[in-house]
Amino acid sequence: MKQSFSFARVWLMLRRDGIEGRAAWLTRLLAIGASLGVFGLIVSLSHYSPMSDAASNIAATNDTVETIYGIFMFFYVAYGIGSINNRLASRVARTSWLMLPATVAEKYVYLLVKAFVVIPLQAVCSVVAAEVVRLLSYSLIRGTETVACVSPVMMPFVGSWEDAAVLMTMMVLSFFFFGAFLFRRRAFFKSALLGFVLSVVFVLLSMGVVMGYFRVACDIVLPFHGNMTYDDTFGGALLPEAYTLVMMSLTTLFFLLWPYWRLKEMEL
Amino acid sequence: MNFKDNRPIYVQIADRIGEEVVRGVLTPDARVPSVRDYAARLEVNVNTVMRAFELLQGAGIIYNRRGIGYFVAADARARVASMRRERFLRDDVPEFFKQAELLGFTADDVARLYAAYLDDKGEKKSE
Amino acid sequence: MIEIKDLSFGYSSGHLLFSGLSLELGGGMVCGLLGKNGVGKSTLLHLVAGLLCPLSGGVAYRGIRTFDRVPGVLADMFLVPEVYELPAIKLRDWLRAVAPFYPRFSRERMMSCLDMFEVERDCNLGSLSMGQRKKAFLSFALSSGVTTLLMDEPTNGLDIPSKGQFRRALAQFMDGESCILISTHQVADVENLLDHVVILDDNKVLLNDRLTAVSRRLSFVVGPEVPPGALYTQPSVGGVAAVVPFDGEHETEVNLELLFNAALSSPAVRDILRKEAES
Repeated sequence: MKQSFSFARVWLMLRRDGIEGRAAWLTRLLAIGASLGVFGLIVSLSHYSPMSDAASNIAATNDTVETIYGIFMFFYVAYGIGSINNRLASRVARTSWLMLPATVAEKYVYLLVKAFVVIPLQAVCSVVAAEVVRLLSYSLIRGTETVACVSPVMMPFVGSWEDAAVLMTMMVLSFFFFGAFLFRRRAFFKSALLGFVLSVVFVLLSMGVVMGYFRVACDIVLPFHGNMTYDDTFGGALLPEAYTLVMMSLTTLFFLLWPYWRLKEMEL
Repeated sequence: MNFKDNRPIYVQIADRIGEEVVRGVLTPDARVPSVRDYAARLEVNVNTVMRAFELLQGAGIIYNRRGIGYFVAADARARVASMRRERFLRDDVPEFFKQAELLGFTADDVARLYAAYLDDKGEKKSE
Repeated sequence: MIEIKDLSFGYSSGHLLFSGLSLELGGGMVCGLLGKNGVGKSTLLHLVAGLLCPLSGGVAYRGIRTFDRVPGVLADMFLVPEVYELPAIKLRDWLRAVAPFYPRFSRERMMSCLDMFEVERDCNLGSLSMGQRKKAFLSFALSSGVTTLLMDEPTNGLDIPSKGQFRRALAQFMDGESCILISTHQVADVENLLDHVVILDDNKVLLNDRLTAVSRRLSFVVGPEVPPGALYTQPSVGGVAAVVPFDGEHETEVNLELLFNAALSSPAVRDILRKEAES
């Protein structure tokens, strides 16, 4: 009765996902790629101004398209992670999942890989497909001058992302991962709602709005709040100090590890 | 196969195999289908067929060659006949006699009825 | 092989389905799990499969807690639930996805089961009728190479010919080690396949024994009138169906329906069955 961790079984689970969901995924890829591409194309066309030179046209286009793709990718990944356990809402699905011969650790790693590797990859694929659609149709419509149009797809990955931004993204995504195990049904929306409420509470606390009763608590949990003035904008309250980074990392770790326990205790 | 009769199923299965021996479907020294084959065909538990085989083995109707299977004994027909006779005398006859006595038939009545029955059959054969 | 010791379980804290229940089942048997509606047959199967966590007490398979969900145990036990879903893909692909989790899976066995069940080898699971899908799933269960099969109402949804196919397939699956536990109300569908019976009633195990042992203690008869010494009777087409003590000579086939009703309503029958378990 082997119970040692087996990457082979993790791979088998990913493969099973791929086989069972293959048709759905392909359709989704095409649909997203096509619609995003068309959207991007419309943006490209609308940014074209015969007055300014081609370079600035392209730059303006790239900015907007990059933003669109960035937003899309974030929401796609967040939704994908938040809904990772959606099918487990039904009893029959839970039965086959729990009876699948793999250790809890392996199932957990499989879910982590799915959330933080597979789903982002899917997002990238969709964006690449969109770009292909956009560039092809743009060149069909506009002709040769579009060749200089550099695809902005690669930018978000090569550009300068600060540690804090990466950590922030990880924290938010792992929050959705956590939420997928906290809620059984409509996990994404409930997580989003919970996240929104928690952020509001956090902001209120950090701005000292709920003073008096919570002042002491604030001082312990959010020591950096004493470093701000209340004139600071919301952006200022999140200046990455070392302590904040540590707190964010710990929170992220908690969001990622709690689901393991939940998985271990999952019942029909 | 429907086992509506009250005798245990393994007895019924043994009888059925005995029937096949009598009718010549299973010839002496022929191989009997395996326990599992019978179980699947009759849709019964393997152990039930096993019991039937043990019964037949006990009566000397089949014998087992280890690793190969079960085979019909050379004198199987005679043994089946004697097994049936024994069963008839043990189970059916007492029941019949009990009924006959209850209904008031004498020994002579019974003998006469049986003789008449045999005559009848003889006549029908010659027709 | 399956050891349930002092099990307590309930879905809601107020009402416990089981409290201090103990039951042991070994290999080499086809066991029928009988009980009235709501007594917890499905729940017991789920506990054995490790899908539910006991409130107290232990449910172990070969000495390992089933709730731990050790893959060695999971790959040795297969649950055929009453309701389950299959993805809408080709059977071939589904096998590719799921079979590797069962190291002792046999492809030849799977194909021969499909043939026996008259399910097309190259079918698409999404386009099968409910009965066909069930048979495809059963085929996998029977060829997964597991030692223990847990089945919850396996004949539900099967048409008459399919029930026969199911019996035949099960008869072939049996070997000296395998344990097949069938929870069912459709006793007639599997009657001849069972060699062991467990009767549950209201948190008590009324019977857990081989049918041969039962038939050496009790006889089941049908006659025009109530036989002397009858421990339990019920009306029947032939007049009266009765349970009488075994007379030492004329062994009858165990009538499961009669046995069940008798065990539930006659203390005398229960006593005899209990003595059976203790001896």
